[in-house]
Amino acid sequence: MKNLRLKAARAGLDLSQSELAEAVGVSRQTISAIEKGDYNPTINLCIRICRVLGKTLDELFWYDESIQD
Amino acid sequence: MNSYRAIGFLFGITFGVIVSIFILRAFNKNRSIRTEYDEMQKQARGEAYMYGFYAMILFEFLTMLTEFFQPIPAEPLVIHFTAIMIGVTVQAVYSIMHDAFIGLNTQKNRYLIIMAVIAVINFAVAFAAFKDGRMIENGVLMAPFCNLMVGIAFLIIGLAGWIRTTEGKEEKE
Repeated sequence: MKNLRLKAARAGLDLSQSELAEAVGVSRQTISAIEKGDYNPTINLCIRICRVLGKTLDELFWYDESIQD
Repeated sequence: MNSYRAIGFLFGITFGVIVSIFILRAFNKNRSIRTEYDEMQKQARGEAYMYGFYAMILFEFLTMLTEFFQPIPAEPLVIHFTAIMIGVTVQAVYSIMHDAFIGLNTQKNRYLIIMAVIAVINFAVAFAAFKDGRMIENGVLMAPFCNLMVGIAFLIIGLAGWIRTTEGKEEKE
């Protein structure tokens, strides 16, 4: 499942995938894979991403089954 | 004569390891011998090692099976080295296709240049050996064939890298 909320939050701060990747200490490809839904990050990486983007885990990574992105 | 060759081979491997340490220090940004990978890369590399191991086992099994019916016209050294190179190539190509080959602290361009140089050196050594008739003696593949294997492996790895880079450019952002 694509993570459009992550993409939107990143774009909202005017960050490129590379900039976010550098800020959280992963490769650009990893951020791209998370946004495309090809990779499920560990909770530690989720927290690092949330801190950089100023969002909560719920806002970026919690999926309510009744809501589809 | 065999012990001379064994010493020569061991010397070659030792030299290769020493050169590799210097190369690792040269292409890692923090001059570290250790290449750093993120969590997705580590996961992909784990799968890559698994497939590399399977490929190596399969090749060894097939050569063993073949030997039952007909001797393979190659030195044992060549057969086992080929198995290693097959394993390494599978591991590398899988890692490349899953963006887990180049580490976080790797200077990509410098790394690619070094790999190209290694491939060219090995092709040159193999070509010289072939020209001198040292690669095939009495219809049997000899040790210089290993250089050809290294050259081919690096060529395949380079090709996979080029394909992945082209794909990556298309899907970026």
